[in-house]
Amino acid sequence: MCVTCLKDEDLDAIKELVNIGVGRAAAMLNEITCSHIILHVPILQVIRIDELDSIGGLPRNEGAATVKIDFRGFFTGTTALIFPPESAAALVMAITGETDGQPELDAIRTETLMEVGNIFINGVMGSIGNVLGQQITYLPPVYVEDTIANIARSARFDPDERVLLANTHFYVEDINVEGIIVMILEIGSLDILLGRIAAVRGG
Amino acid sequence: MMKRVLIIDDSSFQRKIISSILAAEGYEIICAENGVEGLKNVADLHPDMIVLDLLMPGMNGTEVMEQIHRQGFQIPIIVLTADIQESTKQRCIEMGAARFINKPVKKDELRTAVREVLEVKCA
Amino acid sequence: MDLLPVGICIIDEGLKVRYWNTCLEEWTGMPTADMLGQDLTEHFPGLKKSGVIERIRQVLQGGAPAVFSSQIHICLIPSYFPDGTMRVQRTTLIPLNTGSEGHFNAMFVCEDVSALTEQVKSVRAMRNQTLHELEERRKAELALIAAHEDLRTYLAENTSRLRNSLNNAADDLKMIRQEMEAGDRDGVGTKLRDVIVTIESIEKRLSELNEAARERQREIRRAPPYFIPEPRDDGSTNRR
Repeated sequence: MCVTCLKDEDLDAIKELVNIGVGRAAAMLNEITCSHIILHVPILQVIRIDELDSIGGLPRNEGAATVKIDFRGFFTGTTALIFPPESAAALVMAITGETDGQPELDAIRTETLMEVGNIFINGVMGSIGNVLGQQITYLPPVYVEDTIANIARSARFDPDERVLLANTHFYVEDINVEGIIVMILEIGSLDILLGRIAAVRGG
Repeated sequence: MMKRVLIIDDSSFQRKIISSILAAEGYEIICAENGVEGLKNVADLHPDMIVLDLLMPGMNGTEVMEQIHRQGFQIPIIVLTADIQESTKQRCIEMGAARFINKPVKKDELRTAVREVLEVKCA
Repeated sequence: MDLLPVGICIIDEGLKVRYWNTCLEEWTGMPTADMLGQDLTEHFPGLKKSGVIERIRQVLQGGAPAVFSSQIHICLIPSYFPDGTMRVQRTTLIPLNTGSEGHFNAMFVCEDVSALTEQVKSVRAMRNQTLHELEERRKAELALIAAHEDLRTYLAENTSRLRNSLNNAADDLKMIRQEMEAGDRDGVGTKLRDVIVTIESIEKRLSELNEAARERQREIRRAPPYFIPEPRDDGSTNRR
Protein backbone atom coordinates (compact mmCIF):
# COMPACT_ATOMS: atom_id res chain seq x y z
CA MET A 1 0.00 0.00 0.00
CA CYS A 2 1.26 3.51 -0.68
CA VAL A 3 0.13 7.09 -0.26
CA THR A 4 -0.58 7.59 -3.94
CA CYS A 5 -2.92 4.58 -3.77
CA LEU A 6 -4.82 6.01 -0.80
CA LYS A 7 -8.47 5.55 -1.62
CA ASP A 8 -11.42 7.61 -0.48
CA GLU A 9 -12.72 4.63 1.44
CA ASP A 10 -9.44 4.44 3.36
CA LEU A 11 -9.64 8.08 4.37
CA ASP A 12 -13.30 7.55 5.20
CA ALA A 13 -12.47 4.69 7.57
CA ILE A 14 -9.78 6.69 9.38
CA LYS A 15 -12.15 9.63 9.59
CA GLU A 16 -14.70 7.39 11.26
CA LEU A 17 -12.12 6.13 13.76
CA VAL A 18 -11.20 9.71 14.65
CA ASN A 19 -14.91 10.51 14.94
CA ILE A 20 -15.51 7.67 17.37
CA GLY A 21 -12.54 8.66 19.52
CA VAL A 22 -13.55 12.33 19.60
CA GLY A 23 -17.13 11.36 20.42
CA ARG A 24 -16.01 9.31 23.40
CA ALA A 25 -13.80 12.15 24.65
CA ALA A 26 -16.60 14.68 24.12
CA ALA A 27 -18.83 12.64 26.40
CA MET A 28 -16.21 12.93 29.16
CA LEU A 29 -15.72 16.66 28.57
CA ASN A 30 -19.50 17.04 28.65
CA GLU A 31 -19.47 15.51 32.15
CA ILE A 32 -16.68 17.82 33.29
CA THR A 33 -18.07 21.07 31.85
CA CYS A 34 -21.79 20.21 32.13
CA SER A 35 -22.08 21.67 28.61
CA HIS A 36 -23.04 20.01 25.36
CA ILE A 37 -20.14 19.58 22.94
CA ILE A 38 -20.88 20.25 19.29
CA LEU A 39 -18.85 17.93 17.12
CA HIS A 40 -17.91 18.30 13.48
CA VAL A 41 -16.95 15.79 10.85
CA PRO A 42 -13.13 15.48 10.65
CA ILE A 43 -11.28 16.53 7.54
CA LEU A 44 -8.47 14.24 6.43
CA GLN A 45 -5.63 15.24 4.17
CA VAL A 46 -2.31 13.78 3.12
CA ILE A 47 0.19 16.62 2.98
CA ARG A 48 3.86 17.45 3.33
CA ILE A 49 5.00 18.66 6.77
CA ASP A 50 6.02 22.02 5.33
CA GLU A 51 2.47 22.50 4.01
CA LEU A 52 1.13 22.61 7.56
CA ASP A 53 1.84 26.36 7.61
CA SER A 54 -0.60 27.02 4.81
CA ILE A 55 -3.37 24.59 5.75
CA GLY A 56 -6.62 26.36 6.56
CA GLY A 57 -8.39 25.82 9.84
CA LEU A 58 -5.24 25.54 11.95
CA PRO A 59 -4.29 28.37 14.31
CA ARG A 60 -1.19 30.24 13.11
CA ASN A 61 -0.88 32.03 16.44
CA GLU A 62 2.20 30.88 18.33
CA GLY A 63 0.33 31.40 21.58
CA ALA A 64 -2.07 28.57 20.76
CA ALA A 65 -2.26 26.18 23.71
CA THR A 66 -1.38 22.71 22.51
CA VAL A 67 -1.36 19.37 24.26
CA LYS A 68 0.35 16.61 22.34
CA ILE A 69 1.21 12.99 22.73
CA ASP A 70 3.88 11.44 20.56
CA PHE A 71 3.87 7.77 19.76
CA ARG A 72 6.85 5.82 18.56
CA GLY A 73 7.85 2.42 17.29
CA PHE A 74 5.93 0.49 14.65
CA PHE A 75 3.28 3.22 14.74
CA THR A 76 4.79 6.69 14.75
CA GLY A 77 3.20 10.09 14.89
CA THR A 78 1.81 12.86 17.01
CA THR A 79 -1.71 13.64 18.07
CA ALA A 80 -2.40 17.11 19.39
CA LEU A 81 -5.30 19.13 20.69
CA ILE A 82 -4.93 22.83 19.95
CA PHE A 83 -6.88 25.60 21.64
CA PRO A 84 -6.81 29.16 20.38
CA PRO A 85 -5.58 31.25 23.39
CA GLU A 86 -8.96 32.78 24.24
CA SER A 87 -10.66 29.37 24.06
CA ALA A 88 -8.02 27.81 26.31
CA ALA A 89 -8.57 30.37 29.04
CA ALA A 90 -12.37 30.30 28.74
CA LEU A 91 -12.42 26.51 28.96
CA VAL A 92 -10.31 26.41 32.11
CA MET A 93 -12.45 29.11 33.73
CA ALA A 94 -15.60 27.15 32.84
CA ILE A 95 -14.22 23.90 34.22
CA THR A 96 -13.02 25.39 37.47
CA GLY A 97 -15.92 27.79 37.89
CA GLU A 98 -13.52 30.69 38.43
CA THR A 99 -15.04 34.05 37.80
CA ASP A 100 -12.60 36.45 39.41
CA GLY A 101 -9.54 37.93 37.85
CA GLN A 102 -8.04 37.56 34.43
CA PRO A 103 -8.00 34.22 32.61
CA GLU A 104 -4.22 33.90 32.42
CA LEU A 105 -2.81 30.44 31.80
CA ASP A 106 -0.62 29.70 34.79
CA ALA A 107 0.97 26.40 35.82
CA ILE A 108 -2.18 25.03 37.46
CA ARG A 109 -4.50 26.06 34.65
CA THR A 110 -2.27 24.62 31.94
CA GLU A 111 -2.37 21.35 33.88
CA THR A 112 -6.16 21.40 33.52
CA LEU A 113 -5.84 21.99 29.77
CA MET A 114 -3.38 19.14 29.66
CA GLU A 115 -6.03 16.83 31.14
CA VAL A 116 -8.66 17.95 28.61
CA GLY A 117 -6.15 17.46 25.78
CA ASN A 118 -5.19 14.11 27.21
CA ILE A 119 -8.83 12.98 27.26
CA PHE A 120 -9.33 13.85 23.57
CA ILE A 121 -6.03 12.45 22.39
CA ASN A 122 -6.52 9.22 24.32
CA GLY A 123 -10.03 8.96 22.88
CA VAL A 124 -8.71 9.20 19.33
CA MET A 125 -5.71 6.97 19.95
CA GLY A 126 -7.85 4.43 21.80
CA SER A 127 -10.09 4.20 18.78
CA ILE A 128 -7.11 3.76 16.43
CA GLY A 129 -5.44 1.34 18.84
CA ASN A 130 -8.53 -0.89 18.89
CA VAL A 131 -8.27 -1.34 15.13
CA LEU A 132 -4.50 -1.79 15.15
CA GLY A 133 -4.78 -4.51 17.77
CA GLN A 134 -1.12 -4.03 18.59
CA GLN A 135 0.50 -2.10 21.42
CA ILE A 136 1.38 1.51 20.61
CA THR A 137 4.25 3.03 22.58
CA TYR A 138 3.29 6.43 23.89
CA LEU A 139 5.36 9.24 25.32
CA PRO A 140 3.87 11.23 28.20
CA PRO A 141 1.59 14.12 27.25
CA VAL A 142 3.26 17.49 26.83
CA TYR A 143 1.87 21.03 26.96
CA VAL A 144 3.35 23.59 24.56
CA GLU A 145 2.34 26.99 23.24
CA ASP A 146 3.18 26.86 19.57
CA THR A 147 1.76 26.23 16.12
CA ILE A 148 1.24 22.66 14.99
CA ALA A 149 3.64 23.33 12.10
CA ASN A 150 6.41 24.24 14.55
CA ILE A 151 5.56 21.28 16.74
CA ALA A 152 5.78 18.92 13.78
CA ARG A 153 9.05 20.52 12.68
CA SER A 154 10.55 20.20 16.14
CA ALA A 155 9.64 16.51 16.19
CA ARG A 156 11.50 13.97 14.17
CA PHE A 157 9.45 14.49 11.04
CA ASP A 158 11.29 15.34 7.86
CA PRO A 159 9.88 18.54 6.24
CA ASP A 160 9.49 16.71 2.93
CA GLU A 161 7.77 13.79 4.50
CA ARG A 162 4.12 13.29 3.63
CA VAL A 163 1.86 12.80 6.58
CA LEU A 164 -1.78 12.21 7.29
CA LEU A 165 -3.45 15.22 8.85
CA ALA A 166 -6.76 14.57 10.57
CA ASN A 167 -8.29 17.86 11.57
CA THR A 168 -11.50 18.14 13.51
CA HIS A 169 -13.14 20.94 15.46
CA PHE A 170 -15.44 20.85 18.42
CA TYR A 171 -17.28 23.60 20.24
CA VAL A 172 -18.31 23.64 23.85
CA GLU A 173 -21.83 25.04 23.78
CA ASP A 174 -22.63 27.90 26.18
CA ILE A 175 -19.00 28.90 26.62
CA ASN A 176 -18.08 29.12 22.95
CA VAL A 177 -14.82 27.23 23.22
CA GLU A 178 -13.13 25.85 20.14
CA GLY A 179 -10.69 22.94 20.03
CA ILE A 180 -8.86 21.48 17.08
CA ILE A 181 -7.57 17.94 17.03
CA VAL A 182 -4.72 17.16 14.71
CA MET A 183 -3.16 13.78 14.13
CA ILE A 184 0.04 13.59 12.16
CA LEU A 185 0.95 10.12 11.08
CA GLU A 186 4.08 8.97 9.34
CA ILE A 187 3.30 7.36 6.05
CA GLY A 188 4.77 4.01 7.08
CA SER A 189 2.42 4.01 10.04
CA LEU A 190 -0.46 5.03 7.81
CA ASP A 191 0.20 1.93 5.70
CA ILE A 192 -0.01 -0.25 8.80
CA LEU A 193 -3.29 1.37 9.82
CA LEU A 194 -4.76 0.97 6.34
CA GLY A 195 -3.78 -2.67 6.31
CA ARG A 196 -5.63 -3.25 9.58
CA ILE A 197 -8.67 -1.32 8.38
CA ALA A 198 -8.79 -3.43 5.23
CA ALA A 199 -8.72 -6.55 7.40
CA VAL A 200 -11.60 -5.27 9.57
CA ARG A 201 -13.59 -4.33 6.48
CA GLY A 202 -12.89 -7.74 5.07
CA GLY A 203 -11.20 -6.25 2.02
CA MET B 1 -42.08 -10.26 3.68
CA MET B 2 -38.49 -9.06 3.91
CA LYS B 3 -38.16 -5.94 6.05
CA ARG B 4 -36.43 -3.02 4.42
CA VAL B 5 -33.82 -1.09 6.44
CA LEU B 6 -32.42 2.25 5.27
CA ILE B 7 -28.91 3.10 6.48
CA ILE B 8 -28.04 6.80 6.36
CA ASP B 9 -24.36 7.33 7.12
CA ASP B 10 -21.72 9.40 5.35
CA SER B 11 -19.07 6.81 6.13
CA SER B 12 -18.80 4.04 3.55
CA PHE B 13 -16.83 2.10 6.17
CA GLN B 14 -19.79 2.19 8.55
CA ARG B 15 -22.37 1.54 5.82
CA LYS B 16 -20.48 -1.56 4.81
CA ILE B 17 -20.20 -2.88 8.38
CA ILE B 18 -23.84 -2.14 9.26
CA SER B 19 -25.07 -3.56 5.95
CA SER B 20 -23.18 -6.79 6.43
CA ILE B 21 -24.55 -7.24 9.97
CA LEU B 22 -28.17 -6.60 8.97
CA ALA B 23 -28.06 -8.36 5.61
CA ALA B 24 -26.95 -11.49 7.45
CA GLU B 25 -30.15 -11.19 9.50
CA GLY B 26 -32.21 -11.30 6.33
CA TYR B 27 -33.13 -7.64 5.99
CA GLU B 28 -33.22 -5.83 2.69
CA ILE B 29 -30.67 -3.02 2.90
CA ILE B 30 -30.79 0.38 1.24
CA CYS B 31 -27.94 2.86 1.79
CA ALA B 32 -27.75 6.64 1.59
CA GLU B 33 -24.53 8.56 2.05
CA ASN B 34 -26.08 11.82 3.16
CA GLY B 35 -29.25 13.29 4.60
CA VAL B 36 -30.71 14.51 1.33
CA GLU B 37 -30.30 11.14 -0.36
CA GLY B 38 -31.70 9.50 2.77
CA LEU B 39 -34.85 11.63 2.70
CA LYS B 40 -35.36 10.84 -0.97
CA ASN B 41 -35.09 7.12 -0.19
CA VAL B 42 -37.58 7.51 2.64
CA ALA B 43 -40.11 9.06 0.25
CA ASP B 44 -39.45 6.73 -2.69
CA LEU B 45 -38.72 3.38 -1.08
CA HIS B 46 -40.73 3.49 2.18
CA PRO B 47 -38.28 1.61 4.43
CA ASP B 48 -39.57 -0.19 7.54
CA MET B 49 -36.81 1.24 9.65
CA ILE B 50 -33.90 3.70 9.49
CA VAL B 51 -30.42 3.39 10.99
CA LEU B 52 -29.24 6.99 11.15
CA ASP B 53 -25.84 8.58 11.79
CA LEU B 54 -25.78 12.04 13.36
CA LEU B 55 -22.44 13.55 12.37
CA MET B 56 -22.72 14.05 8.65
CA PRO B 57 -21.60 16.93 6.45
CA GLY B 58 -24.42 19.05 5.05
CA MET B 59 -27.68 17.88 6.59
CA ASN B 60 -26.88 16.19 9.91
CA GLY B 61 -28.82 13.37 11.53
CA THR B 62 -31.04 15.50 13.75
CA GLU B 63 -32.06 17.60 10.74
CA VAL B 64 -32.92 14.39 8.88
CA MET B 65 -35.11 13.29 11.82
CA GLU B 66 -36.86 16.65 11.83
CA GLN B 67 -37.57 16.41 8.11
CA ILE B 68 -38.87 12.85 8.38
CA HIS B 69 -41.32 13.88 11.12
CA ARG B 70 -42.29 17.07 9.31
CA GLN B 71 -43.10 15.09 6.19
CA GLY B 72 -45.36 12.84 8.24
CA PHE B 73 -43.46 9.56 7.95
CA GLN B 74 -43.95 7.18 10.89
CA ILE B 75 -40.77 5.17 10.50
CA PRO B 76 -38.84 3.99 13.56
CA ILE B 77 -35.32 5.38 13.71
CA ILE B 78 -32.27 3.87 15.40
CA VAL B 79 -29.60 6.51 15.92
CA LEU B 80 -26.12 5.02 15.57
CA THR B 81 -23.52 7.64 16.35
CA ALA B 82 -20.04 8.46 17.62
CA ASP B 83 -21.51 11.41 19.50
CA ILE B 84 -22.28 9.50 22.70
CA GLN B 85 -22.93 12.47 24.97
CA GLU B 86 -25.86 12.02 27.33
CA SER B 87 -27.21 15.39 26.13
CA THR B 88 -27.17 14.16 22.53
CA LYS B 89 -28.94 10.96 23.50
CA GLN B 90 -31.61 12.96 25.36
CA ARG B 91 -32.19 15.21 22.34
CA CYS B 92 -32.57 12.22 20.03
CA ILE B 93 -34.98 10.42 22.35
CA GLU B 94 -37.02 13.62 22.68
CA MET B 95 -37.12 13.81 18.89
CA GLY B 96 -38.61 10.33 18.76
CA ALA B 97 -35.62 8.05 18.15
CA ALA B 98 -36.54 4.46 18.99
CA ARG B 99 -33.00 3.56 20.11
CA PHE B 100 -29.67 5.33 20.59
CA ILE B 101 -26.61 3.17 19.95
CA ASN B 102 -22.96 4.14 20.34
CA LYS B 103 -20.33 3.63 17.69
CA PRO B 104 -18.29 1.56 17.17
CA VAL B 105 -21.18 -0.71 16.32
CA LYS B 106 -21.44 -3.98 18.22
CA LYS B 107 -23.01 -6.73 16.16
CA ASP B 108 -25.27 -8.15 18.88
CA GLU B 109 -26.43 -4.78 20.13
CA LEU B 110 -27.45 -3.64 16.65
CA ARG B 111 -29.11 -6.95 15.74
CA THR B 112 -31.15 -6.97 18.95
CA ALA B 113 -32.14 -3.32 18.63
CA VAL B 114 -33.32 -3.71 15.03
CA ARG B 115 -35.27 -6.85 15.86
CA GLU B 116 -36.96 -5.28 18.89
CA VAL B 117 -37.82 -2.05 17.14
CA LEU B 118 -39.36 -3.89 14.18
CA GLU B 119 -41.32 -6.16 16.52
CA VAL B 120 -42.81 -3.14 18.28
CA LYS B 121 -43.67 -1.61 14.90
CA CYS B 122 -45.47 -4.75 13.73
CA ALA B 123 -47.28 -5.32 17.03
CA MET C 1 10.69 3.95 43.83
CA ASP C 2 10.28 3.88 47.59
CA LEU C 3 12.67 6.78 47.92
CA LEU C 4 10.95 9.03 45.41
CA PRO C 5 9.17 12.07 46.86
CA VAL C 6 6.00 11.17 44.95
CA GLY C 7 3.25 8.71 45.71
CA ILE C 8 3.50 5.60 43.56
CA CYS C 9 1.01 2.78 43.34
CA ILE C 10 0.78 0.00 40.78
CA ILE C 11 -2.45 -1.87 40.16
CA ASP C 12 -3.14 -4.87 37.96
CA GLU C 13 -5.99 -5.31 35.52
CA GLY C 14 -8.20 -6.54 38.37
CA LEU C 15 -7.58 -3.17 40.08
CA LYS C 16 -5.63 -4.96 42.85
CA VAL C 17 -2.68 -3.13 44.40
CA ARG C 18 0.65 -4.63 43.39
CA TYR C 19 2.90 -1.88 44.74
CA TRP C 20 2.41 0.86 47.31
CA ASN C 21 5.40 3.05 48.08
CA THR C 22 6.60 4.58 51.32
CA CYS C 23 5.46 8.04 50.30
CA LEU C 24 1.86 6.84 49.90
CA GLU C 25 2.13 4.98 53.21
CA GLU C 26 3.13 8.24 54.85
CA TRP C 27 0.53 10.37 53.06
CA THR C 28 -2.45 8.05 53.56
CA GLY C 29 -1.43 6.28 56.76
CA MET C 30 -2.17 2.98 55.03
CA PRO C 31 0.71 0.48 55.37
CA THR C 32 1.96 -1.32 52.30
CA ALA C 33 1.26 -4.71 53.89
CA ASP C 34 -2.41 -3.78 54.28
CA MET C 35 -2.77 -2.41 50.76
CA LEU C 36 -1.11 -5.17 48.71
CA GLY C 37 -3.70 -7.34 46.99
CA GLN C 38 -6.55 -4.97 47.86
CA ASP C 39 -8.93 -3.49 45.27
CA LEU C 40 -7.79 0.13 45.10
CA THR C 41 -11.24 1.40 44.15
CA GLU C 42 -12.72 -0.14 47.33
CA HIS C 43 -10.35 1.94 49.43
CA PHE C 44 -10.80 5.07 47.33
CA PRO C 45 -14.36 5.02 45.93
CA GLY C 46 -13.74 8.31 44.07
CA LEU C 47 -11.86 6.19 41.54
CA LYS C 48 -15.14 4.51 40.56
CA LYS C 49 -16.55 7.70 39.03
CA SER C 50 -17.30 7.07 35.37
CA GLY C 51 -14.89 9.71 34.07
CA VAL C 52 -12.09 8.23 36.15
CA ILE C 53 -12.56 4.45 36.05
CA GLU C 54 -13.04 4.51 32.28
CA ARG C 55 -9.69 6.24 31.86
CA ILE C 56 -7.99 3.88 34.32
CA ARG C 57 -9.30 0.97 32.25
CA GLN C 58 -7.99 2.60 29.04
CA VAL C 59 -4.51 2.64 30.60
CA LEU C 60 -4.88 -0.95 31.83
CA GLN C 61 -5.63 -1.88 28.23
CA GLY C 62 -2.31 -0.35 27.16
CA GLY C 63 -3.68 3.05 26.16
CA ALA C 64 -1.79 6.32 26.35
CA PRO C 65 -0.79 7.74 29.76
CA ALA C 66 -3.61 9.62 31.48
CA VAL C 67 -3.26 12.90 33.34
CA PHE C 68 -5.62 13.85 36.16
CA SER C 69 -5.23 17.51 37.00
CA SER C 70 -5.50 18.97 40.48
CA GLN C 71 -8.08 21.56 39.41
CA ILE C 72 -10.57 18.99 38.13
CA HIS C 73 -9.97 16.18 40.63
CA ILE C 74 -8.00 17.70 43.55
CA CYS C 75 -6.55 14.20 43.96
CA LEU C 76 -7.25 10.59 43.01
CA ILE C 77 -5.80 8.99 46.15
CA PRO C 78 -6.89 11.34 48.92
CA SER C 79 -4.50 12.19 51.74
CA TYR C 80 -4.39 14.92 54.35
CA PHE C 81 -1.84 17.15 56.02
CA PRO C 82 -1.60 17.07 59.83
CA ASP C 83 -3.75 20.23 59.98
CA GLY C 84 -6.56 18.37 58.21
CA THR C 85 -6.28 20.09 54.83
CA MET C 86 -6.32 17.90 51.75
CA ARG C 87 -3.12 17.30 49.83
CA VAL C 88 -3.63 18.67 46.29
CA GLN C 89 -2.22 16.27 43.74
CA ARG C 90 -1.51 15.91 40.05
CA THR C 91 -1.75 12.26 39.09
CA THR C 92 -0.32 10.60 36.02
CA LEU C 93 -1.33 7.10 35.12
CA ILE C 94 1.16 5.13 33.06
CA PRO C 95 0.64 1.72 31.46
CA LEU C 96 3.24 -0.89 32.44
CA ASN C 97 3.80 -3.88 30.25
CA THR C 98 3.56 -7.01 32.38
CA GLY C 99 5.58 -9.04 29.92
CA SER C 100 2.53 -11.11 29.18
CA GLU C 101 1.16 -10.03 25.80
CA GLY C 102 -1.90 -7.83 25.96
CA HIS C 103 -1.75 -7.51 29.75
CA PHE C 104 -0.90 -4.26 31.48
CA ASN C 105 -0.61 -2.86 34.95
CA ALA C 106 -1.16 0.81 35.64
CA MET C 107 1.20 2.96 37.67
CA PHE C 108 -0.22 5.95 39.55
CA VAL C 109 2.33 8.72 40.01
CA CYS C 110 0.90 11.23 42.50
CA GLU C 111 2.72 14.56 42.80
CA ASP C 112 1.98 16.86 45.71
CA VAL C 113 1.20 20.25 44.13
CA SER C 114 -0.30 21.79 47.28
CA ALA C 115 2.55 24.28 47.67
CA LEU C 116 2.53 25.13 43.96
CA THR C 117 -1.25 25.61 44.09
CA GLU C 118 -0.91 27.97 47.04
CA GLN C 119 1.89 29.89 45.31
CA VAL C 120 -0.12 30.19 42.11
CA LYS C 121 -3.15 31.33 44.09
CA SER C 122 -1.15 34.03 45.84
CA VAL C 123 0.48 35.12 42.57
CA ARG C 124 -3.02 35.29 41.04
CA ALA C 125 -4.24 37.29 44.04
CA MET C 126 -1.25 39.66 43.77
CA ARG C 127 -1.79 40.02 40.07
CA ASN C 128 -5.51 40.71 40.52
CA GLN C 129 -4.68 43.26 43.26
CA THR C 130 -2.16 44.98 40.99
CA LEU C 131 -4.66 45.06 38.14
CA HIS C 132 -7.26 46.48 40.54
CA GLU C 133 -4.83 49.18 41.68
CA LEU C 134 -3.94 50.01 38.10
CA GLU C 135 -7.61 50.41 37.31
CA GLU C 136 -8.08 52.65 40.35
CA ARG C 137 -5.04 54.64 39.32
CA ARG C 138 -6.42 55.05 35.82
CA LYS C 139 -9.77 56.24 37.18
CA ALA C 140 -8.05 58.65 39.61
CA GLU C 141 -5.85 59.97 36.83
CA LEU C 142 -8.88 60.66 34.67
CA ALA C 143 -10.59 62.41 37.61
CA LEU C 144 -7.50 64.55 38.24
CA ILE C 145 -7.22 65.46 34.58
CA ALA C 146 -10.89 66.52 34.65
CA ALA C 147 -10.34 68.52 37.88
CA HIS C 148 -7.26 70.14 36.39
CA GLU C 149 -9.22 71.10 33.30
CA ASP C 150 -12.03 72.58 35.46
CA LEU C 151 -9.48 74.59 37.43
CA ARG C 152 -7.80 75.85 34.28
CA THR C 153 -11.15 77.01 32.91
CA TYR C 154 -12.03 78.59 36.25
CA LEU C 155 -8.66 80.40 36.37
CA ALA C 156 -8.98 81.60 32.78
CA GLU C 157 -12.47 82.98 33.41
CA ASN C 158 -11.46 84.67 36.67
CA THR C 159 -8.22 86.19 35.43
CA SER C 160 -10.17 87.61 32.50
CA ARG C 161 -12.71 89.13 34.90
CA LEU C 162 -9.91 90.45 37.13
CA ARG C 163 -8.19 92.01 34.13
CA ASN C 164 -11.43 93.75 33.17
CA SER C 165 -11.98 94.99 36.71
CA LEU C 166 -8.39 96.24 36.97
CA ASN C 167 -8.68 97.99 33.59
CA ASN C 168 -11.90 99.63 34.76
CA ALA C 169 -10.26 100.74 38.01
CA ALA C 170 -7.21 102.06 36.13
CA ASP C 171 -9.43 103.94 33.65
CA ASP C 172 -11.43 105.46 36.53
CA LEU C 173 -8.26 106.53 38.33
CA LYS C 174 -6.85 108.09 35.12
CA MET C 175 -10.09 110.00 34.67
CA ILE C 176 -9.99 111.18 38.29
CA ARG C 177 -6.41 112.39 37.83
CA GLN C 178 -7.31 114.24 34.61
CA GLU C 179 -10.34 115.87 36.28
CA MET C 180 -8.27 116.86 39.31
CA GLU C 181 -5.58 118.31 37.03
CA ALA C 182 -8.35 120.25 35.24
CA GLY C 183 -9.58 121.51 38.64
CA ASP C 184 -12.85 119.67 38.38
CA ARG C 185 -13.33 117.97 41.75
CA ASP C 186 -17.11 117.67 41.82
CA GLY C 187 -17.50 114.02 40.91
CA VAL C 188 -14.17 112.80 42.33
CA GLY C 189 -15.61 111.47 45.57
CA THR C 190 -18.23 109.34 43.77
CA LYS C 191 -15.69 108.07 41.28
CA LEU C 192 -13.24 107.17 44.05
CA ARG C 193 -15.98 105.18 45.82
CA ASP C 194 -16.62 103.29 42.54
CA VAL C 195 -12.90 102.54 42.28
CA ILE C 196 -12.85 101.32 45.89
CA VAL C 197 -15.86 99.02 45.13
CA THR C 198 -14.05 97.69 42.07
CA ILE C 199 -10.87 97.07 44.09
CA GLU C 200 -12.90 95.32 46.81
CA SER C 201 -14.48 93.03 44.23
CA ILE C 202 -10.99 92.30 42.89
CA GLU C 203 -9.81 91.47 46.39
CA LYS C 204 -12.84 89.18 46.88
CA ARG C 205 -12.16 87.37 43.62
CA LEU C 206 -8.50 86.97 44.55
CA SER C 207 -9.56 85.40 47.86
CA GLU C 208 -11.77 82.97 45.94
CA LEU C 209 -8.87 82.10 43.67
CA ASN C 210 -6.66 81.56 46.68
CA GLU C 211 -9.28 79.23 48.19
CA ALA C 212 -9.57 77.32 44.88
CA ALA C 213 -5.80 76.83 44.86
CA ARG C 214 -5.89 75.54 48.46
CA GLU C 215 -8.75 73.14 47.56
CA ARG C 216 -6.71 71.70 44.72
CA GLN C 217 -3.80 71.20 47.09
CA ARG C 218 -6.16 69.27 49.41
CA GLU C 219 -7.39 67.15 46.47
CA ILE C 220 -3.85 66.24 45.59
CA ARG C 221 -3.19 65.21 49.20
CA ARG C 222 -6.28 63.00 49.11
CA ALA C 223 -5.16 61.36 45.83
CA PRO C 224 -3.22 58.04 45.87
CA PRO C 225 0.48 58.59 46.65
CA TYR C 226 1.61 58.23 43.04
CA PHE C 227 -0.13 61.53 42.16
CA ILE C 228 1.46 63.73 44.83
CA PRO C 229 3.85 66.09 43.09
CA GLU C 230 7.45 65.68 44.11
CA PRO C 231 9.41 68.91 44.72
CA ARG C 232 11.96 69.50 42.00
CA ASP C 233 15.38 71.03 42.59
CA ASP C 234 14.14 74.30 41.10
CA GLY C 235 11.34 74.39 43.67
CA SER C 236 8.54 73.55 41.21
CA THR C 237 6.70 70.24 41.40
CA ASN C 238 6.61 67.23 39.14
CA ARG C 239 3.99 64.47 39.08
CA ARG C 240 5.43 61.12 40.05
